[in-house]
Amino acid sequence: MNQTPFKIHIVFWLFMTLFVLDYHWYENSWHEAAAFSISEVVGYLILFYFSMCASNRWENKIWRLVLVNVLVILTYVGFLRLTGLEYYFYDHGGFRNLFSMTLNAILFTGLGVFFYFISRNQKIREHNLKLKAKNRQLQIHAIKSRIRPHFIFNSLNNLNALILKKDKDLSKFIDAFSNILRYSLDENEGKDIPLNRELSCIKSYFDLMQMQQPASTNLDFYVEGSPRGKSIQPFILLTLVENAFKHSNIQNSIDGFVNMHVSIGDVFETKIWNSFEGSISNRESGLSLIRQQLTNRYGQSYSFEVNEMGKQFVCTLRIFSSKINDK
Amino acid sequence: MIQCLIVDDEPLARNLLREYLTFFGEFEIMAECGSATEAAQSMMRGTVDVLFLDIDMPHLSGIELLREMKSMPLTVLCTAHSEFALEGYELDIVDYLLKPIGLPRFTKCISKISNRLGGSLDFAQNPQIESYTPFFVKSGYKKIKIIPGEIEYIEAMEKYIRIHMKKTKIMTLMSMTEILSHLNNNTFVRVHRSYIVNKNTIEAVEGNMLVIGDAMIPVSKANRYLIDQIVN
Repeated sequence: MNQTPFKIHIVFWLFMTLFVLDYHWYENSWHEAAAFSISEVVGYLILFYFSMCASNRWENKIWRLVLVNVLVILTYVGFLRLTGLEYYFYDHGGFRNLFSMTLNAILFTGLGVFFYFISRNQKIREHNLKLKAKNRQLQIHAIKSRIRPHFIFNSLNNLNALILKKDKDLSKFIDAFSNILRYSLDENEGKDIPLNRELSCIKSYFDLMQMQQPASTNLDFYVEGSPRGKSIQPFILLTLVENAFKHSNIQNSIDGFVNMHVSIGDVFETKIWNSFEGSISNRESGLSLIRQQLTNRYGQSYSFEVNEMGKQFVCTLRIFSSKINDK
Repeated sequence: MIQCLIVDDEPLARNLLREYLTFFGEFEIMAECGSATEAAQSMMRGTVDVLFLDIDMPHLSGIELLREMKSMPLTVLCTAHSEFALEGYELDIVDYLLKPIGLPRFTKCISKISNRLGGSLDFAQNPQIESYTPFFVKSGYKKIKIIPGEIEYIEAMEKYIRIHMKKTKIMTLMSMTEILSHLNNNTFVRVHRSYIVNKNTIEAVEGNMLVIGDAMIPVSKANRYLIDQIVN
């Protein structure tokens, strides 16, 4: 009953009144017809809401519910018959009147029960969904409490203190590593996050990779335009970057490279290209997940192309800037 | 001298801040405390200008200490938890450092403190700061020393970069991202896919071109906002 908006109830009963009015107007003057139909509809209204309340009260005791409803219907019919109101509502007379009254009473009582159970089922379904979501949240919390992020970050900070004087590169390594770790552990429940944060994580990723390669390895990360005031679905760009590194040949070729250029203008454009050797056939399956994510979030407002050009693999993602602007 | 107080229950974390602070000559460490209660006592003994405060400590947390205090020195919260940031800023802190604390981030924090103190610190010229320290690049069989202050601009050429200095040019096999990691990002800006410029050497701005000596450096369309930042 609380599920359906109040307005729908009003509209329903207004419509009902008009419907009955139409029937009475056939033989009576309009004000008589109005009086009849309003009083008749009030009767239905009482039946309807009473059966709803009864369903709420005895929803698990079906027989008691049926009994109560039968009693109500009998009372209604008896009331109309004893007061003589039936002759205003129905013009058949005698047994035929009794039949019509009972039928209408059963209809509205039945409708009340029916709507009650429909809305109850919907409520249960929603409640179950919420429970499921909460359950998943609890699982994440359980995993996270086992990891204890602050313990890790405190330890890394102490490590930083220990090596500060000995190795500057290691200090940089810890910085980049913890930036990525923190970003990955942050739970944002799939909501958009500031573009700046995603880009800073990717920057750390490139830093980390650069430190593990000879200085001559060609890794380039370049952002053009200002990420301020923009938000994006998290981990999409990062996944593309991880893929590019995974499939590149920077480990075993001096000509290997991974480049990423981000351009923030009217269109947000990210281009990632890397060198590779061998086949890329198994790469498409990983990308289909990204496509799915992009479609879920951006609908038709993005384009994502993957091209193989000689020994290069190029990914280009474009999203309309209006889609990533902060509200 | 600026009087600092370091509060952290972990000794190594205190060491780190102490080491970092020695890079910036103007800071003097008045005391180091292992707990918030100790810190409260130290602050009664003398004036503290800057307070570096951990949050997660036994007995009394950093946030609780801040709430107790009547007058607050410039406070920097240093913590491994990211979730207290909002609460911290409500208490009007200067900066919120997430552990592990890297030197570049700490340098930024010092510049924030300096701004609060009226910009009296000239720390940027401190040669001890990593980003200003000279580094070596390979050119042919030689390793050549590069002093960041002498660089005018850097140009990308395929896999190589050319570093334009006041007197010479050096070609080396290095990526733009790699060279940028050796340079201070307050002074050096990548204005174009193929160009990094030293802000201090820009002589003029012509439309979307920067004039440095005889060279004209283009600025990408999306990076026009950088010109405003440079000019102002």
